[in-house]
Amino acid sequence: LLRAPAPAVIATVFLINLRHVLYSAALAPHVRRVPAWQNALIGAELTDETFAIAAGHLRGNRQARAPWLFGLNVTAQATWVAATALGTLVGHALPDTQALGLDFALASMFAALLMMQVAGRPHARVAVAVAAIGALVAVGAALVVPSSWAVILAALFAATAGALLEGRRLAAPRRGLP
Amino acid sequence: VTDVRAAVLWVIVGSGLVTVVPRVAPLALLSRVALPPALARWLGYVPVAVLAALLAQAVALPGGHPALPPHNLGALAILPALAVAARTRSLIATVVVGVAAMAALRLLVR
Repeated sequence: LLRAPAPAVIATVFLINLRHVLYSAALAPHVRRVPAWQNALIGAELTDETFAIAAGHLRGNRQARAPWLFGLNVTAQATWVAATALGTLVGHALPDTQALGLDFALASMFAALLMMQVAGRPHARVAVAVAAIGALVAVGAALVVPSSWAVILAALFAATAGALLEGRRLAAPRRGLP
Repeated sequence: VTDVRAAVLWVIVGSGLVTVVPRVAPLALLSRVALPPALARWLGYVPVAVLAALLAQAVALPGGHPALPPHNLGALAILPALAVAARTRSLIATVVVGVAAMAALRLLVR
């Protein structure tokens, strides 16, 4: 790390973090009633996991309460720090964490949050299509570019497809209505 | 020696900035303005797209490389997890079933 020039290191860190622009933008319509300085603190603690849980909580046009978001962020960070400390102290006593399947907890959590997102939507079929496109682009693109960029590409492609599909449905004349 | 330390300081400050600004700026700015309906609709699909992307990468690319069963047990363990998620919509039930399925598969395949 120290041998790489500083601009190259900073540029790499930036590209790894770029997907949080999308997370932050997607949460913005839900925090209109929260003061700007609190929004800044809430944004500073965004992670993949806290965004996923917040987005699940804020479906539709729901407005977030600042204490709920701070509680989410502080709980996530405190759990991270406490679990890291615990692992450092007593981790060697655990035989084989892989055998316990604990490494699969994150994927399972994403599965549950995705299911809740898709199920709770007015345009459920559009949401299913968006999920399928997002999954395909994320895996396909990750074979060529770093996986964090692949998430950005997947989000851009799939959300655009979703907005276009929903727009077309809204524009289409409804049969059976006068 | 001073040069190296200055470079390290720049890396820390710069990395900090490019970590915080992408997280804070959109949330702080876009929450203050009325978004055009098309953009709001687009942003509404970002969570679904991102969750599907993260899940697909976690399942299809274990350790960062594409793999199929039996070298990728996650691709099998995710099926009961998705079934429980669809039925119960419960976060904790889904995680418990997913982790248990993974442990059971590793026990069987080993």
